[in-house]
Amino acid sequence: MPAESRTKDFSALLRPKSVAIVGASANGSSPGNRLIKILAGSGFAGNLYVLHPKTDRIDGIKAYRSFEEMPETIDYAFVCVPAAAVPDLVKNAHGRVRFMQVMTSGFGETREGVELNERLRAELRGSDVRLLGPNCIGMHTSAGRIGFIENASYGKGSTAVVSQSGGLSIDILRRGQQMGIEFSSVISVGNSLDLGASELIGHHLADPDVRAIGLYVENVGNGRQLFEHLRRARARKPVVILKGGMTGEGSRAAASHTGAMAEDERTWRALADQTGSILVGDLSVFLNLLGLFQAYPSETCDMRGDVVLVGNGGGASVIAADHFARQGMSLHEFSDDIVERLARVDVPAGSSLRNPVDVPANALRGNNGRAMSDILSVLSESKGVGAVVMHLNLTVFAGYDGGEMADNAFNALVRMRDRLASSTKVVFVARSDYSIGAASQSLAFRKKGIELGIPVFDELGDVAVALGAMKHLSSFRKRRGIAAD
Amino acid sequence: MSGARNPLAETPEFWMPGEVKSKALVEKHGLRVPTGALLSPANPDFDALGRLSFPVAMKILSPDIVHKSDGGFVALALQSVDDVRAAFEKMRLQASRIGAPVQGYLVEEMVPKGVEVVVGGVADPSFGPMIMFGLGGIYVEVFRDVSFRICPICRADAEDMINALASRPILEGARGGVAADREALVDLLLRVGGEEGILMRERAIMQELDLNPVIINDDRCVVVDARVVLKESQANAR
Repeated sequence: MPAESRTKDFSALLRPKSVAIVGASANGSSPGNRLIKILAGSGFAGNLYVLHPKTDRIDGIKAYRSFEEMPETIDYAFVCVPAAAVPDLVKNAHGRVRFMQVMTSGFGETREGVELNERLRAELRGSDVRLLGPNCIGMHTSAGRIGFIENASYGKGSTAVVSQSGGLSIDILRRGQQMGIEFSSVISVGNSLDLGASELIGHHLADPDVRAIGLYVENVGNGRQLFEHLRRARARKPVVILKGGMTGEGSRAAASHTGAMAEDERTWRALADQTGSILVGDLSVFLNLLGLFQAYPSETCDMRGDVVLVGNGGGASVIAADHFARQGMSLHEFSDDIVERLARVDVPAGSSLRNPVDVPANALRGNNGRAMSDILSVLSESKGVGAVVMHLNLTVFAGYDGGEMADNAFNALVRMRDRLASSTKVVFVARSDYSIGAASQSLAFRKKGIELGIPVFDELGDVAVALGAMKHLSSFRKRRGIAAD
Repeated sequence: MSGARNPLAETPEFWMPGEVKSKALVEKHGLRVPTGALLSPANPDFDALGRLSFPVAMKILSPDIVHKSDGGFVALALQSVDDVRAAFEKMRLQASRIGAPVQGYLVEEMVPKGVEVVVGGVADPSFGPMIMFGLGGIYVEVFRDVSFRICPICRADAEDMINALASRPILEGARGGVAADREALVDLLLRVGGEEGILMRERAIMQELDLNPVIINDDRCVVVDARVVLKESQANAR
């Protein structure tokens, strides 16, 4: 069946009402059984079917011999049968299954699987089934309550991720959720024999419920399609591309200077520069950006003006100033009026009330612990501020009162955010020495912060990179006269 | 590239249409090439040179000779038809000495000195046609200071490509140099990589393109050398 006449309506995939599992075993040990378990705990409310050639029931669910026997068309079938059985399964799914995700490996990614891959491709040509994979881990969709890890959260996220690597999909979901990111979907596309990253990103760009997009990609079969989707979308939503395998391959054999110069990195850099996408090379940066864009998605993903730094740690703030400068951002210079009012705040000696505002932990005990709150209320009236970055060295705070002061300072930041216009970004840096107490307090801040719409980072350098990416997106839109959605 | 055998020497001639055909293709798409004439090896028509403005340059056209200037196969600043005759005889002897087959001798009007840039194209297997831009000479070859974009590019992309170069101050006339006309550069990039540019319109057949150098004088861009590499499927179809 020609690709253009096959379904592009992804609602059956992302919110399936009927799910079939093919490859769950009677002894309960396969990835299919695991998915049955996950669906039992995820709140999946649709109809669940199992396809098995011999057994009558698997994990308490009636098993059917074929898709045809099942009483309804299957929106989403998850397949983990041996590779050799997959092409026939696709053949029999024609007209009975809308989306099929094949976890099984042993196709185009291996030398032995090339022939089988061609058979699978041939079956797809005659079929209306849309296929994800083969060789992928599965799919997490919050609206559809489908998942690939236990204990995932199925919240109201608006961040969608497409990943070419199954293992990394797990990292993204697990670590991202620990950081407080709510994903609307994380889809692992594996070999992308049929449905690939380009088409899914096209869908996410058009879907109003998706407000930030992440893509992990190694190589994309139809880069042209990805380019055209991104270009048409005109950077209205932030798109972060984590590109793997950027180095090492070298340039292709070429007969011209130009050909010899065309390396993978230059191609992806060009894609990002032309579409306002953000290209990163590291999982931590990828997730930090998605965290920031969850708090400031779509139209609010916009950074103008200077940075105000406030926190404890003189050296840390000096280094931070360098980090921001490298990202093309400078520290905000307070007006005389603000400086004067800051001077009236009751803090002991040792504090610097110029930007970066450096307030030692003990100083925050001033005015019955209201010192930070007082400082922030003065700062919130400073004009032309793009971002307020509060950084606390939690270890130092823990030494005073078990961290209560840090909580108070954070709460003061939340109150400040509520007073400020949304054009001023407010972020929090929960620095720790990796001791269990400080590290777990830092993680707790991450979750709490992101729930309250305040992105939390481990280090000041991470903030500079993340806000730098946001500024890059803003200036792309500005240069091209694009208003965000 | 140092030490390695030049892959060009082994490239079948029909994959690479040669300078004259390459320039004709480039000219068809609205880019300026030097006014010139072709001399045949056996019966050179020197009278045809009368319509050219001197000084002229002459170079040999031979699939076996890749680095023309190294072997004395380029003659510059020839002031008259007699100068051309003399250079022609010298080159013909030189070529027969090394046994290189000669298709012809290309005589072209000299392009006045200006800012030399390189514009290229390559068909990426996944992204399709891409355009490259850099400053001529060491900036491309040694520093690899180039910018790429996926075609088609828009005006803002062309501006970005220029701004992205580390050598941009030189392009803008740093240290008393000549500044390249910005509008002319943008126009050049759009004629190569824009919606109606050569790379989009010839994308069915074109694998690689080198315009190296393009000389910019005031608002005039002249493609002084051009090399087209066709797609393998095209070459096989011949």
